[in-house]
Amino acid sequence: MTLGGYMGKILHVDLTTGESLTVPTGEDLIRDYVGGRGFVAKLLWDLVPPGTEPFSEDNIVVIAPGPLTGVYMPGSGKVHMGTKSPATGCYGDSNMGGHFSPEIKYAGYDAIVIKGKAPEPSILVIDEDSVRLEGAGDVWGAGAITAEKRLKERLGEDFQIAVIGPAGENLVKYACISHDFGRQAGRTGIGAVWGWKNLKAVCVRGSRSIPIAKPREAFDKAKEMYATCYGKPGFKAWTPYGTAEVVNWVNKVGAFPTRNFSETYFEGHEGINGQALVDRVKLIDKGCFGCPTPCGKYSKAKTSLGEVRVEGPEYETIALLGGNVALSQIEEVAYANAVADELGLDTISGGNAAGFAIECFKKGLLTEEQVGRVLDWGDLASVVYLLEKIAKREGIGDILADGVKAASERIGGDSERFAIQVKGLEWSGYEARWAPSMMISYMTCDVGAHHNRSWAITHDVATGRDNLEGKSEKAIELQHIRPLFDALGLCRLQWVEIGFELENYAEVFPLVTGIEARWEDLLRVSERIWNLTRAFSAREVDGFGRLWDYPPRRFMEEPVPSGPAEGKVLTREQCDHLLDDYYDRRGWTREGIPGEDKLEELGLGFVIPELTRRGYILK
Amino acid sequence: MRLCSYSDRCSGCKVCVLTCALSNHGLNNPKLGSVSILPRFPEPGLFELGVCTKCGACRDACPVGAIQEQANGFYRVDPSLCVGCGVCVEECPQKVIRMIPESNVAFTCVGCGECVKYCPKEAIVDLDGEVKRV
Amino acid sequence: MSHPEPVRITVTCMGHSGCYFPGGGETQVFECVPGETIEMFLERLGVNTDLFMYAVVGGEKRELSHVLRDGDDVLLVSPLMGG
Repeated sequence: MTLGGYMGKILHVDLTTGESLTVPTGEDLIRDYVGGRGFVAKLLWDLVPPGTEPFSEDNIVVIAPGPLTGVYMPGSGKVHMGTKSPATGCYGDSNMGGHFSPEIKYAGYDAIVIKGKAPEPSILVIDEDSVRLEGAGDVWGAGAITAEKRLKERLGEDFQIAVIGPAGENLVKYACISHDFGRQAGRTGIGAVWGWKNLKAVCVRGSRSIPIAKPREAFDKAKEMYATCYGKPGFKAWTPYGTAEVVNWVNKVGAFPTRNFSETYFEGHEGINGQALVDRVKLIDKGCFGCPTPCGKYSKAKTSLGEVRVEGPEYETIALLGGNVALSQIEEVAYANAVADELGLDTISGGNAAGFAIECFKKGLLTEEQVGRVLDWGDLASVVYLLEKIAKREGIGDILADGVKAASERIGGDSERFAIQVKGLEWSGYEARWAPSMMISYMTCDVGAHHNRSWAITHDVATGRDNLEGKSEKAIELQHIRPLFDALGLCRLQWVEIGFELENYAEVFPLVTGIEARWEDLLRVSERIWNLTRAFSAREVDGFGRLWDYPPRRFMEEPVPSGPAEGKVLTREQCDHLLDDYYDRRGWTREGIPGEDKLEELGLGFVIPELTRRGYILK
Repeated sequence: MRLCSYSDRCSGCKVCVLTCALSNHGLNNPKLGSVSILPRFPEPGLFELGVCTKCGACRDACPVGAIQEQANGFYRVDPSLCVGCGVCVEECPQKVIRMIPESNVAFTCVGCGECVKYCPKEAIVDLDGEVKRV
Repeated sequence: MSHPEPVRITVTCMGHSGCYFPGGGETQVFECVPGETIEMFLERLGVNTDLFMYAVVGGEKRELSHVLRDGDDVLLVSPLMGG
């Protein structure tokens, strides 16, 4: 039986042989994991042999829309991608908007699983039932934006294309997947796994309709959902600025990454805030599929180094390629954004790497001779130089291309203290020394230091920023709600940004799929996924657990030197308190491993033998 | 109703074509929607948006006389006469005519106004003001 | 002795900070002290002003230092991020 919202099959492609096959989308898989991130987590557990190297034929990439992706309703354009991450060695995933994900559904698939390694640089072309590998030709070596344009010219404008840049080809551990001239699956280095597999691009086209369980009711509900969004006061207030809107506030509360997180208030923030974006560089709002409130801003910016067109900069890029390297002009941030996009670098990790390198240089841990030039804060040329060296793995770039954690091990001195990461993944745009709930969110995020699983600073503000109680509980609550959108194949911004009510999603899910699940049932699925990704990392990393959950020493040992958060720090003891509380509430051991009872309760008993065999005690 | 499209407002979200295909064909398939959205990236950086202007080129092009003007000035393909040749699809200057795969019959904008009602950016509007964004 | 004109405003919270606002974030009518800014108004209610980024008053974006006037329709905008 094909349920509504599902296309009924999963495409498996072996790049080594060029062969592909489809398997029916299992009813158990749907029931227990829903789609998107759930499919990513379960397929990685099932299909990656334990102990697989990230760069190997056995590692897989899963590309999964959700059951609501491509369906007429707000925010239905998201895709989830996952792999064993080269950045962390753990479970890795990243989410991307645009139009790629709906196209996978229209081509007839609920997920694409890619393994092996193509014998030569290739592109994967999925034209409904026709699946083929083609030589990459002139797009290998090309920038991600350039390559996408060329592939559209080669294959047709109606193909949706996901592509890597030179950073992916050169195995930079935070190389991203790029799509729609400015949307990225930025995090955890999935682009490098594509690069290792000689996979330059995945190009998809489809013309099928998505089956809907209750078409009339689902259509009416969707129209009501759009009307509700248009009626929200924030619909007009938020959309013109997008995510850049929050820059002023993050500075006001002392949480803005500044000079490699050495400070948390950037004096130049007014030159890179939402108003500067709208007044000085924005051309149009650029939306993903089905979006009523497009956060994307397509921009044109002129700097001393030249003129660029770029989608963005959005908040994270402004934080990490703005404040974190002390660029104080929105045009310069847009320029660095465009450079990173063309190179195929994650702007979050890329901005961290640049800030880290500049701090090392300022402290004498890197010399002009090692770097090849002088590095300075607030210097666009320094930033662009570093991004290009990283993407090409040249000189200092080769060291930085492995991420700040690995780089600090080679650079030495006390640089490990200010390598701002968790699990080897660089920190995104919210410094958290004065936000315990945000801090535990970063510490325990399954892919490393990323904000999107739980964003909790307002909870910290409302309940006392020095108070540790209830902070882990809030993080857990959000870690189940927010990633659920990634399983459904939806964007959460209508809920997050304009207060569109969660009940809407609960109502529409059964109308589209025909599955009588309540919101609590779906949250249970989300908790199952969270425990499975943790189990995957435990399976793949020897001695995994608590030690992987600490923030960098800077955040535990160096009080914020100035600004609104001056003097604030979360000590190791305080972090331990947060972790104990977090593990206890999750039903995990104090070593941070899912407990046997919790695993059984969630229907994850199948992971117990593997974890036990690897020496974990689950009681 | 007279439709007008503003490319500088379009965000490329495809809500218009999704609404159109569901309203007119009952299918969740944006490719069947009778609005044309052509992305122009990386340069100049906009979506060229096309809607039916009631120009009548489809009627003039149809070799079997299957396309007739309706009372509201929009055109309608008579499914019992259409032979599925696709000439109108090629000739439409706004590129808003679609072949519906289930029936192999052409479909062009009938002026239902659903795109106007649901476009988040008010990039498609009714110049007569009879239909507005919800 | 002159009596200052009463200042009545409507307040709506946009986004999730509304759950930390007295009575929730739905539209409510409040009476203000003449000359009061949004920031002072929030403090008087015991609401942490850091819970809101800025306000939209009568469709125009305003800082929290905006002085409230009779009839102001105030939207308080929460900071929240998606990713």
